Amino acid sequence: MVEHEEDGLLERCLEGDGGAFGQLVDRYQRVLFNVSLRMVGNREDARDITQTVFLKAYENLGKFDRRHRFFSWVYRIMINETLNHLNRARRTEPLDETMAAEQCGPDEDCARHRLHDSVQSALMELSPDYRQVIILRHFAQLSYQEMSSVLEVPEKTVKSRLHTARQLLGGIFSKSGIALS
Amino acid sequence: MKDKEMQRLMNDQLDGLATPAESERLRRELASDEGARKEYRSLGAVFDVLNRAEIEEPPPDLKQNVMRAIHHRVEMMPVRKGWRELIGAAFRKRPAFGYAYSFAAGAALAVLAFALLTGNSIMGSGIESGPFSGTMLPSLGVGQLRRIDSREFTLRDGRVLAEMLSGGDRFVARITARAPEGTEVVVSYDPGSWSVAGLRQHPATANDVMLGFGRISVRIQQIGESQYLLYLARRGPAGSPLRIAIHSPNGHVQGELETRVPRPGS
Repeated sequence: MVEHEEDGLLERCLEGDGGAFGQLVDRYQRVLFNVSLRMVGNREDARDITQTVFLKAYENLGKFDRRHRFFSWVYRIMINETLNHLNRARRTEPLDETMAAEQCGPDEDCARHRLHDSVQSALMELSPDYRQVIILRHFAQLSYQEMSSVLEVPEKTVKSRLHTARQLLGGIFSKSGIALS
Repeated sequence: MKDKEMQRLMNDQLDGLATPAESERLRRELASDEGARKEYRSLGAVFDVLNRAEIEEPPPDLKQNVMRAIHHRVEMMPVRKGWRELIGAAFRKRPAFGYAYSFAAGAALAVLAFALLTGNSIMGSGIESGPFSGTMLPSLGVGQLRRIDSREFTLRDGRVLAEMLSGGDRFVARITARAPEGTEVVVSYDPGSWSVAGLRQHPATANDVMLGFGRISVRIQQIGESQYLLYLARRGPAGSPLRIAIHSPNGHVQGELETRVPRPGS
């Protein structure tokens, strides 16, 4: 979707066209859900958070500064929502609901599930600051510049955080026996 | 080369952002520095693992849920703090919403008038409506709603009783909480199966109540027992349970409430 198309959709949303917002949901739900899932480690919470983010975006479209990119704004809402969720969860015992791959089918599925869970466990060992840079770069494929805009920190900080986060992940992967090629 | 510059080059190369000149420069550095080679291999392995991790598909009903909630925006308004202002703001932004709300308000008044005339008040569902305290389970009259499931959660400094009540096609979740300040009680439900038709609180408290999409949460701000009646309207097939989660300063507990009405004799 090119940027002017997105502008047109936003315009229609502001005029009360719910269908136009549906197209924006189509566009961003996959990536936002994955960002949320990797941040909180629980599908159900990730779904709730993603839905809340879209609703907040819809409710606040009138406040959105059109000089900025829509996705940066939505990501910012997403990051705030997930951090709020994590702060609430920090005060409590961990939910016994993290993504588990107890029931595997064929070997290939099992291996995929195991990798998925191992990566998730490793991500959850990182602090939220480091986790989010990894997720935004590797799962949402944002550029450094986009990450800088979403996280409201200079690009230099993004790069330095990413490097440290990757080093930390490497250590966690090795420790937990994830096959590093 | 300085460590920082070397790190930047390594990351840019693996991120696919290095220019040909930078790639060549990195190649030369790696050829002459074993420590750097090791670090680069290790970093590359992290990229490899992350690249192999798959992107998950979002739940198939996510979009549908969002769109449904947009159409029922009033349900999203906070109950306690300034909901009138929020609705007012929504009207200013979307005049059509104001007309819809006026229509809904008119319809509600008509239903209320009909209920008063026929003696079938919608909220007179058989649950005691006056303020009460000191008991976790107020009695229900004969022929009124009956309890089909309950869960009691014991906290270090309190307890929360969650009950599912039903009578005919009426469903009410009753939450009675005596919990420390800061405790959050969250009732979540499948928005495809249920919608919230009403909410009552006994007694009036300073607790924060938020009606969200597929969930209602109460944050305890005031010491003492409080009770919430969540009137539910069925949207989908019977049997979708309610999920209760309690986040207290001392821990987390959760459970489910069955909503399926047991057959007589079972």
